[in-house]
Amino acid sequence: MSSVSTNRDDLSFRPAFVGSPSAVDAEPVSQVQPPPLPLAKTWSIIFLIYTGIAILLTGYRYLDDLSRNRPGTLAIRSLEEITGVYTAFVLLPLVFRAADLYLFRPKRMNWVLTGFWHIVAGVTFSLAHTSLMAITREIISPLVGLGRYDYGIMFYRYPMELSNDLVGFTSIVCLYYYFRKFRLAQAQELAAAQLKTKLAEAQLENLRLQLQPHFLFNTLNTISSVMYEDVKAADQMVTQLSDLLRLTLRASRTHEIPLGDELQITRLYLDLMQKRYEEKLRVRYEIDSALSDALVPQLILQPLLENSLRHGMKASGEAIDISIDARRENGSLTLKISDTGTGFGSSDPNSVLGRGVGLVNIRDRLAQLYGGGQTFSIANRAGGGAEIALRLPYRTAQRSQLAADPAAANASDAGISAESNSSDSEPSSLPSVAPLRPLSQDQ
Amino acid sequence: MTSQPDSLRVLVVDDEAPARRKLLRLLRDESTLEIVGEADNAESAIAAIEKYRPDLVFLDVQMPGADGFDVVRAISGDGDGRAADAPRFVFVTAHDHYAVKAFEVHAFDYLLKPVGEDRFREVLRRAREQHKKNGDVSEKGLRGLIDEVLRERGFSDRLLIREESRAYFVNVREVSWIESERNYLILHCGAKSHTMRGTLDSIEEMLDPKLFARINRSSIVRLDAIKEMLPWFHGEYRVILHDKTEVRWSRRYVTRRPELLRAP
Repeated sequence: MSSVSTNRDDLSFRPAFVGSPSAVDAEPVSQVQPPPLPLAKTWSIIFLIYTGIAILLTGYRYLDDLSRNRPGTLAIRSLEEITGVYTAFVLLPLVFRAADLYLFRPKRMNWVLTGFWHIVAGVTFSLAHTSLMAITREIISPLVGLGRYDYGIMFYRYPMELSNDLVGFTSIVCLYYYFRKFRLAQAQELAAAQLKTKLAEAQLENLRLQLQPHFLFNTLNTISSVMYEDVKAADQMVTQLSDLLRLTLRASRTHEIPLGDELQITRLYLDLMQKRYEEKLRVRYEIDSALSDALVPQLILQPLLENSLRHGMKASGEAIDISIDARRENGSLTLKISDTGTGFGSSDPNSVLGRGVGLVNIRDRLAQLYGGGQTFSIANRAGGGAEIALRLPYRTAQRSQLAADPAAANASDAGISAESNSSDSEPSSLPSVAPLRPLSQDQ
Repeated sequence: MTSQPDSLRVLVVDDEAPARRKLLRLLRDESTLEIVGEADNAESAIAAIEKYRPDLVFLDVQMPGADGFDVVRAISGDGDGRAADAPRFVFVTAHDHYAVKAFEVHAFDYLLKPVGEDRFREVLRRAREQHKKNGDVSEKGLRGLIDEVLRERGFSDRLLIREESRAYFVNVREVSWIESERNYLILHCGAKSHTMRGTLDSIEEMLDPKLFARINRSSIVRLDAIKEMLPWFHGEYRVILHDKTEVRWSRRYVTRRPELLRAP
């Protein structure tokens, strides 16, 4: 029984973020970009809005003239407002580009600097806008039979339009800023939701795997045989099987767990498999012990091992060697699972992925968690057998913990203490536990 | 445990050693019973059955590479008339819905893991009775079971190759192309090739059309083994495989699989 309690102590399985999965989500998901907008449609809508503004402003100016008893100005007011509004429309792409540069490019917002660049951009916009208005009116006015257009003294025009333009410029930039923020938040929400679905699927997959009736019944059959030969060994297998079931029931909702925790499940699983297959299965671990805090996606190794065992073992009954390799290379963590089995028998990645449902799920999860920061490769080994390698950005639990806000840290303390004195209440908080109910009732 | 005229000769097949030991332990308590051997994979099971001609085989259904049904299929003969004196089979399985249903439909005995002693003795008693009643096993029964299981399982993952001294399985994904020559099929697997009895028509039915295509009267190629396809005359194609073999894709067979030429 001592092994059970040590296990429990080792199991800071729910690493720091209980109740606040977003603390973990934040980093990977922030790399998400919203899908591109349909350009033609977006610009058409903006153009229509500007046309509407031109009509309203013309009406405003013309009615003003009428109320002062100055009729006959409709044509000239239309010319003024149309040129005024459409020249601003033409400048919009530059406005957006400028806003990108000083609002979205900087990593940290400095209000003084942002304000400064905003005014610089606004003044530049106004200078360009006023000049464009003067030029277009000069050109168009004689063409539509309104004679030469008199814009007055430009020395006063520029500051006069500046006040107007600054207000317009600021409102456009504000709208643009909030629109982009809104879309980004939407995309992140979607990505986070998708990630959660994948994790739930992975958990289910894993449950199916360990509690797969095959695994369970075959392991029980082995125990029922071994207990005639070696009572101690049989007892140990019962403990290991229970620990494995318990760990699976406890699987946390976080996307990432320390490698040490992930390996604990892996070792139990492979130990049991080894006792079933005896000398036909040899396992070698090459794990850099400094990596036990490195974060890895939860439940990532097991489907890969299961894949090796189920599809790699040969019909001729030869022994299979499986090795699990974890090492750090510069800023990344490389996990490698290689075996001496039958290999994939094909170089086509699609038919390879078809070999196990789990592989597709893993590939998608990695892509969603780390985007371009990861690689997932499947290959046949030169000497026969398969090799699957994952390369992830190297991060440790500690570092993320510091990054999380104090509230999250408090929540994590509560989570750990809750875990250490409750064992039965935990599973009920998990969405994927439902299929296990009958089992826990039996116990 | 000396061989007596009415003694039951038994073979135990399971890929996991502890599972075999469990059955062997139960069998050793029996009298007038001879354990002729044990096997830990499908290929050695076939070899042992052919060598020792046991009366009864405890056969694990799930084994990697080739499973218990592959063993039965090999023993009952893929239409090459080898099923002369097939043994009686008792299937052993951990959990397999459709197989268990098939066992019941075709009146085969089976054991569920973990194997319980009472059920084991009962199954063994029945096997002895049947063995005494008639020495021969109904080949029809075996074929019925295999046909049903194969239907459930879909296309074959592996093909049984028989040589004079041994039988073994070849994974279909290792085969690059299959050529027919009279009553024989030559499976080309890279540098190696295997010969089996059979016709291209019968093997075509067993292979997944997503993986294989018949490209002329006498050849089937694995699609992944194709390097390129070059248009030839009269709507025919020259198919070049990764191993540099060239096979002609005749027009009649091009029209059968037009989707293969379409861009994905």
